Amino acid sequence: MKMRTRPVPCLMGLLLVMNMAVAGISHAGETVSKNDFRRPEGVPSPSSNPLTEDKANLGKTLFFDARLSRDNNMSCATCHAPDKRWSDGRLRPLGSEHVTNARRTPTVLNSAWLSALMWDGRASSLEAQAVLPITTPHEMNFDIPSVIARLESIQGYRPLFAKAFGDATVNKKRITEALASFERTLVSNTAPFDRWVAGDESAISERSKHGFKLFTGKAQCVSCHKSWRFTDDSFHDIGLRTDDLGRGAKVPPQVTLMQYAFKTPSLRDLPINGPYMHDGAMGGLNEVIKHYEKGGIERKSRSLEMKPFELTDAERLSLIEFVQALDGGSLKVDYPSMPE
Amino acid sequence: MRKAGIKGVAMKPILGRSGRVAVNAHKTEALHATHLLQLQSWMVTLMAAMLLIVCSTAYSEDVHDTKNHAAKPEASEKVYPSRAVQGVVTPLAAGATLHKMTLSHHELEAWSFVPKRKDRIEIENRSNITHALYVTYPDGTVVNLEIQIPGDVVSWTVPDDAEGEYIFRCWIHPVIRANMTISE
Repeated sequence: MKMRTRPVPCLMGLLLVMNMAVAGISHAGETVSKNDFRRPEGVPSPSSNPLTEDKANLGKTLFFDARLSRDNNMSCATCHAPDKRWSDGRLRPLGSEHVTNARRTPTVLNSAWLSALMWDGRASSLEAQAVLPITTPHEMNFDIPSVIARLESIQGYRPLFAKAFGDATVNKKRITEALASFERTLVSNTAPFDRWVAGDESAISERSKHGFKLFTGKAQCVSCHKSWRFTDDSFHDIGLRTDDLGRGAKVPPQVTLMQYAFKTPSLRDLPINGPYMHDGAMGGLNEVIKHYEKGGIERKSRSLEMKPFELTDAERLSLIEFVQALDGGSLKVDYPSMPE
Repeated sequence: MRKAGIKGVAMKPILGRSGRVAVNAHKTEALHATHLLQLQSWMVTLMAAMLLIVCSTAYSEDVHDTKNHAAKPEASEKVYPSRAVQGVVTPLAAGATLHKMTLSHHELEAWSFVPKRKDRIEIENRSNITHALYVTYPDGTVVNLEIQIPGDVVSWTVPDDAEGEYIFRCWIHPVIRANMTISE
């Protein structure tokens, strides 16, 4: 009996799929084309904090200023470094050695489009997020009143605040608005893939094009890695071995699917050797792809979009070459001089 | 500051995908297609059984177990809370209206109705991804509308004493958001 049990679901599944195809029913539903990944024209900003050059300039100075940390040793750029694709290249963030379930530093590139920030979505805007690293004990370990007092004591900041907001008053709202404004200006360079989407057939290799087909077809990466940023800004348990509940710790326990769920990261401008995943558990794209092929740990919370599949070595290479075509290179940054 | 609480959520095991579709289909226009699919499934089962009898080739579990992912249960067959609490099986109140909305991709499509107290709002997931909608009441109360696989319909009945802004969002996809004002 045992030896006959295996073919049943296979055959039934195959026949059911064939039958559904004849009946015109498809769970795949939507057709994806390269135009679905076309870059937007402008950069969005909320009506409560419209993007201006002066605010972005102030925000840039604040972003690189280590005096926003209690011991003057850490700035936003310490962990979101321009030469590290606006992350830190580390498995775990600096100072998190004794933090339970520390998570890898996400990039701040293309954050203007985010609707939920942090791996668990606990911040709903860049303005709200900007406070968190400043006040987190193992990061900048400061408090907002002290930050304000310190910035007020730096005369060189007065004209920057005045230019950005009309007067030199320093407060939490202005600090976070300026930081958010600068972060909104960090947009990925045009990548070879973008030129291909725009019509230049020679912009990416044939292997990359094959990878795109796999990405949107057989491998169904596009189920979550969609839009021009290759993320759905949503949360999924992808079956990783972890004790970290992720978004599950932020939503009611009845929402089973959010346990061990983390935000889908963008695939643009990835550091070639990782680290990847929320905990930096993987160091190469080949390993990442193999994880998705197997589908990870089966549990009640595992995303319904996790559907195991199998690729050949050549197909994996195509997929990797496609992801590499999403790299527009490092952003050119003119480092600000620190006000005195 | 308002404190969020969970109201009206029941934990009850339900069947897998076919069962879930059947639970909801009686209220959707997909009724015919669902029945057709069920009929086809029975036919397929019969055909598969006949094929197995004819083709009694032995399969080695050692060879197939590691690669045969289809043999494993799908995540959609796992246990999720029942949607009964939200009114799907409760008759519509006298004088109340049934409104329909759709989820497409990552957004709730625009609606034109103005809901009133006791009305019911049904939301059909026409995307190809799973959603988990919830409603935040003006007092901060949060009501889950449960996991919604593609094709599923969930519903929310406007409370008898509703007044103010009710916000629909998705736990999985925070970008999904709809504000609905209820006034008597």
